[in-house]
Amino acid sequence: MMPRRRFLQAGVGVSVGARAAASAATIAVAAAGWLPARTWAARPAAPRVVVIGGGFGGATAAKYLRQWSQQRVEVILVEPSAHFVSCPLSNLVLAGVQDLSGLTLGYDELVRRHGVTWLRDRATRIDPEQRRVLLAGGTELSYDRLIVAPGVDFVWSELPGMSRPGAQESVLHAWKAGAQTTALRRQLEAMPDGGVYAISIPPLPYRCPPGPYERACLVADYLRQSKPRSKVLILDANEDVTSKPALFKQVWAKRYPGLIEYRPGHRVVDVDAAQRTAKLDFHEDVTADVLNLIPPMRAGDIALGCGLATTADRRWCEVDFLSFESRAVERVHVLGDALQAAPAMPKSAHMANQHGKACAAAVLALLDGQSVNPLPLYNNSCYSFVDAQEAIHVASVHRYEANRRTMLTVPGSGGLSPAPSALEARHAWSWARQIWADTLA
Amino acid sequence: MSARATWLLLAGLGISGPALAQPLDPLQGRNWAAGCTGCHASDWLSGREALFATLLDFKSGHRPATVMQQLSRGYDDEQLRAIADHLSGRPAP
Repeated sequence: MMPRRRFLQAGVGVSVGARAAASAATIAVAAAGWLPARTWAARPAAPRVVVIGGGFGGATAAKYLRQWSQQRVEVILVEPSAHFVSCPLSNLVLAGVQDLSGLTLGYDELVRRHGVTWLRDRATRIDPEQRRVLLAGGTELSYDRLIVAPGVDFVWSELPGMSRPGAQESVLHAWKAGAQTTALRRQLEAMPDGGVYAISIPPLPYRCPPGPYERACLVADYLRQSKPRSKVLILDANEDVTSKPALFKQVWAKRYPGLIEYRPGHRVVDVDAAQRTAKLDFHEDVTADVLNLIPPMRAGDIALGCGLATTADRRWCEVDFLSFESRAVERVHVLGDALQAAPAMPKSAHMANQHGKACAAAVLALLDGQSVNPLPLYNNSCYSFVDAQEAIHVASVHRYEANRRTMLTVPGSGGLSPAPSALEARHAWSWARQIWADTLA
Repeated sequence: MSARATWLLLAGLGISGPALAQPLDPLQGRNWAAGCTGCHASDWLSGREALFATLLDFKSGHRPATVMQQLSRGYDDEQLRAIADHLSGRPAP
């Protein structure tokens, strides 16, 4: 047994390349010549974890690594955005009942309260051999363990027309809350009464399975009050509603009859952005006044560039669900939406937050030379608004199944709302406030 | 101070020594309880026995809820006990 040696070795300067103590490392490394001048300080005495990505997964991991190590582990968070903008609740901005500023939070508590070092930069390359990360600004960071939480990026190659100049500025996804969210709201405001808002949904897996259906509801809620002759058209590449299907269909039939039209099995294969026309396989083109195209998704760019995305046409990252360590690259952990998810595990903010904590626990155990928790057990809850006042939820519990080496839902657990309610809308808000705090404060 | 915290402090001072036996259970309670803090502030909950009883009531359906009856059914009683112990700040002896 060799428990907890790694902390100690790092602490007393047993020289193993970049893992040496500060003074020794500075000299040895400079002599070896493979650290440029802009390398972030000297090697610290404490073990260092670098976290790429400050979304729900990465920010949570950064916070809990500090908290659970009693600040003994150095944590560097690499996140270029000035602010954290919550995707959950951002569909309310499209309905005109919420400002994006109310969904915008800072990283300052992570820094001030938890001592996370936040570098406002973008990771461009990972060198797992030398255990270092290169940033766009030229900084190089060495690490003992690396956590990659890059979220999703889009597979634009499947939509050739979206590469034309200006296309991505006129046909919006608004699937990363921020500038596109407010821009899409402006498009809806400018849409004439009697116009068509079309939203296209990519094949699973994609970020936030119920999100597009919630968005259709909230846009419809706005239109029925402000532009009642208008229409919401849902073009779904999937054969059925992918989340809360019975509830959403009931809402559409009862609350938005004649306003929302759902077309399953309608996959967008190209776009003429200038005409706002979606080209579909097997169906006629659809031209809309506002075309909201949610493109097919994959793990974020950085994961693709360094061989972490290993499965499903190299779109998603496979991990050991005990530790979130990549199945392809040692000492690199991946979490959140970028994962090849376990069965029935959604790409959700709540799930990424849970990943962040389970991953932080595993990384600390590994830094200690301990075995990781053999029974990860966590949950998901996800609220969707069906109009500005009422919401529904889906919940599930996920447990590690050793025989299958993955997370499975616990039989008999989880479930859905019986019906939309104002109570659940209040719960959705309190959920959001708490998960923001758990992630960032 | 927990055994883990003590150890981490020693490690930080560069004091090596024989490995301290570290029971898994307190960490497991911590890890499982971390599943709760996405929705609940950890200081919102208090009272070990009351909390455990509340969780069991959610699980049995005696206590009405929108979500908690669905989530609590995903945990066995021992797991709920470990979570209650951790959140109440009084890990089982």
